[in-house]
Amino acid sequence: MTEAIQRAHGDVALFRLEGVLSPRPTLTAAAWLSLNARRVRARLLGMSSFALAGPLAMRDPGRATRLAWSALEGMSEDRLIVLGEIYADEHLLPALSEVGVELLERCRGRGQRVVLLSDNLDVIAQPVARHLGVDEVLCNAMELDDNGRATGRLRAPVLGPQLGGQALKGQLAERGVNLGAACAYGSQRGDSVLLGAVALPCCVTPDRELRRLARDLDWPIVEESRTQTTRLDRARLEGIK
Amino acid sequence: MTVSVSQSLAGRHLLVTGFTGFVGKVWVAFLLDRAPEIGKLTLLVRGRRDAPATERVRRAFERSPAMRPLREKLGADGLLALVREKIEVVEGDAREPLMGIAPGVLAALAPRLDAVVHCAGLTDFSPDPLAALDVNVRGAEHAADVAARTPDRRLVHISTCFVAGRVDGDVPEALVPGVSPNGTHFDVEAEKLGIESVCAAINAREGGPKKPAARRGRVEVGTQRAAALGWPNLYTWSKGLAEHSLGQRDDIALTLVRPSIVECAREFPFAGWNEGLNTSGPIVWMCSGFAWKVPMRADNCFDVVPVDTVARGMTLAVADAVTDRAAPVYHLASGDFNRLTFDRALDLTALKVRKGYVPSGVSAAERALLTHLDTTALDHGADRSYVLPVAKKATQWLRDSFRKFDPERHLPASVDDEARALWTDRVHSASLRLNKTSMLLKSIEQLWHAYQPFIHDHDYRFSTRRVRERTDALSPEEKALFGWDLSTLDWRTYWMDVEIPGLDKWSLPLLRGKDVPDDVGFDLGGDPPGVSARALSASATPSSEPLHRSASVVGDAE
Repeated sequence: MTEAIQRAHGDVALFRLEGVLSPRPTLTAAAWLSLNARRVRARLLGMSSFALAGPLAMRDPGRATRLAWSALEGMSEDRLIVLGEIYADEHLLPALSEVGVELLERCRGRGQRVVLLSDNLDVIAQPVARHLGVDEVLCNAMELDDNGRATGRLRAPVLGPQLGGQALKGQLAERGVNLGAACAYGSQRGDSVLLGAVALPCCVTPDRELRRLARDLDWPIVEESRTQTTRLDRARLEGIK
Repeated sequence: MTVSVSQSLAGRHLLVTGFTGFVGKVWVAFLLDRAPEIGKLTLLVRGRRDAPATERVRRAFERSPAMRPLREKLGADGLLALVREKIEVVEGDAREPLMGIAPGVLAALAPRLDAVVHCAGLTDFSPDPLAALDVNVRGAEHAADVAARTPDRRLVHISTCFVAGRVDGDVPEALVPGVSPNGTHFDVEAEKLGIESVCAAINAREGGPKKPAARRGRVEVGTQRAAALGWPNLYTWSKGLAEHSLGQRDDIALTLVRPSIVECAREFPFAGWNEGLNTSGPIVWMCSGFAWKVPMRADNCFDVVPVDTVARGMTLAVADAVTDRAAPVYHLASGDFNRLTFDRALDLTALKVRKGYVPSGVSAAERALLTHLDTTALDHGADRSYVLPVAKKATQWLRDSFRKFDPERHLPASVDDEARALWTDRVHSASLRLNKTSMLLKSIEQLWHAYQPFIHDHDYRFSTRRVRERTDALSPEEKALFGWDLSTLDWRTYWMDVEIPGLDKWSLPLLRGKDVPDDVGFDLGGDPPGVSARALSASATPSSEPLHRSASVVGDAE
């Protein structure tokens, strides 16, 4: 029976950090990091960048993210790593989504390889991954210059807010992940491409646009409050549970 | 070719000075732990009025955290057996000819020695020049005199990288005797005579050597002379003179070992251990407090080396020395291969504060402010600093104003006696606090001036080629035990998880006037380490010289 369930779900489970496991968007992390820069001037610059990136995120999320990360230019690798750990410890881990964590633990319990996907920096995603005990993390990393200082640009290949592009597929293929035989959990409009590419997509407390899409495509939806899960979704989730 | 350190040291008999100091103690413990094949270590220790040399050594083995691994590994009986087998204690004083070792004892000891390892010395940046001459220069010469009486005449002298003086850039592992850091040709004997005669004149002028003005005068003159030869302070001057004096002798086989800034242990005796007030303690104390800008050059090297890494380097040098393969000079430094800059050290200190480390005695409001106040380097020297002098003057002015407070004159007549007494008390306590702050600011100002050559004026890059090459020639097992391991040191982990917690526990309490307790340890029983010394004394026939000489007063805290 277990093998049959595993076959049905594939051997890999992809979890999006932002939305599925944590309610905090990536831009918040960028803003927090830049507000904790070493010099006051850099903190002010970070605030200005964030003030521009916020409204821009609605129209062009990719550009908004690049603008937000650019505020970290000049920050030392030490500071990125330590602040990343502090941010994860103080802001992400205490607010992890219960249902997201429960789903992740079930996947692990079934023996699936769990891959955490995030467009956040590795210095933030890695401590969360360690805490959750996931097998692999695919996330972004800040480009550093020869002196170990951030250039403000993300190292290629960049995972944007819209997950599922060629960059992500390429990285997953390098790790031997066959999307056609994997399950994935997403919660934002940006996750729809990824969810559409896997064998078993699942929406976890989705935003409005993803919810509409999920209903159109008959994808299961899991809510933070499980009482809202539809009867159809319950039936579809039997395998997952 | 693989050259075994253990085999080189097996059965060797070393005379070690400065055992009660930081480096000496860790090195002896390290050697007993990792090279138990060593034949014997004779520790030359000063006696004190309250504790003879054997008692000081016994106490170190029983209680010092440096000996914790040995105590844990061997237990009381095992440690006692090890001490009886490997340790001898000889009472002496590096300032005295032949280090104050009784002639009979020396006659018995010298023929059995493979080398003398001289760790003793003053490490104060601005010592009395006469004391520095006595301990650091003559002490080294006396150690050389003892070494010259041993069969192979080997002396391993522990110096400092900063004998390089006021120079910048690459510093080779070399010594040119008689040539000072700024290229001046000088004679050590003439230097000693010169400074002594000037100090004698100052003493006579000021009414005696113990007068504070006389001491200030001696330090000032000594510092000026050091600067004239290219040394930044009296410590480096005296260590430099010692090297040049030893370097001109042809009756000893000299090996100079030069550590840079010796800091908290990385792993031995355990992570974080430190002893006494050291160089980075005050820096960390200030930068984890309210010092927002500090007079440092951000990209200069902060050449820190953990004490157990120094112990590894010393072991390599001594193993080379006793097999007559030693190079003349070994640098034990970090800057040429794994560089830590002042900027990075400040950043890591600030990040440690972010992660919850706040000096004790800080209020909640101050804590909140401190976590968002990141210290940065201000690229001008302490001479051009304007904040500290202004703050000091303002504090002194306020303090003096409060001291002049007269309730009869400054309070209106309508104020009753009770309120008058309350006001007087408050003003008095405020003036006391301001006085304390004023003295603190003065100390900080003096500290920045003392540190300026090392944290601002010069950027050193000490070559460590010899210990690295020596390490490359070791087997993998010996590399793990004795190899120069700085290339694997992650400064972030070391500084945040080892150095700052270590300083906080073992050094900073001393700055706050508190004691650092020894381990509970255990009692080694009736026969202390001196048992071997007694055996030595007995073997010193036909001499009937007493083993324990009278106590003398010399610092031995290298």
